[in-house]
Amino acid sequence: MINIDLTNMEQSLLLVEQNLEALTPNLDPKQHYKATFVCEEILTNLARHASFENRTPDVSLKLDSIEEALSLTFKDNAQSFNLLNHPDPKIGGDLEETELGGLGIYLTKQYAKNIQYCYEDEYNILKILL
Amino acid sequence: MEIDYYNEGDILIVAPSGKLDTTHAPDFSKLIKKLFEDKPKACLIDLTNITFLASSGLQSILAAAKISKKEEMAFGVFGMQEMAYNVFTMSGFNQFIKSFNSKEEALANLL
Repeated sequence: MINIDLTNMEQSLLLVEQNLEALTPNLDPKQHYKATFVCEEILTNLARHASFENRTPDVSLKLDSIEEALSLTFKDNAQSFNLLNHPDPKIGGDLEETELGGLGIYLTKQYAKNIQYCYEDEYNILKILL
Repeated sequence: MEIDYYNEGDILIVAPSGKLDTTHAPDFSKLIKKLFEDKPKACLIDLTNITFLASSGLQSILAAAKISKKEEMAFGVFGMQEMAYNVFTMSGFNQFIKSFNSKEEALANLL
């Protein structure tokens, strides 16, 4: 399990990459890119938008290699947020219509084979299968 | 992250390298805004050496494209690696930002 420091995203994402490479040294480069991408998007979203109210942020990531797939389990004690309920941005419009936000979650959904979310004991648990 | 920039005739070329992600995209955006103060006729972003493009990087490119349109400046990108191009097209950016395979192709077709 990797403990994530949301106040130091560069270091946290480096740690994720190191763990990913240690877990799956022969991972297909495209799969590696998708895993790194999803981690960056989920953790950046937490760092920028999550509300921890009076709680000290407790954020972790568990990586598992399951046959050909890669499982990423994010756990955090922010206010409940189910990205599956987050509306997708408008894709394929024109330049003026395209907004700056929402792309990270949208692309995460596109890359995932499966996404499961639950809120248990005041923790968001998000499991993404790639 | 290093960001090189230079002019080819009337076209400003900005060439970041490494990761265009949440850590580095703000520096890229800041530089673009500064370079656009000189009102170039056109701008190309050279993504040849971008090894990782996250949504924050996409957003910085989108912001540059929006400023370009407002300033009536031609704008495009070129040289994306396979997965960066995948991120770019899945986001629908290829529908409103000109994208070229190479610098030669971009210079010949942007204006």
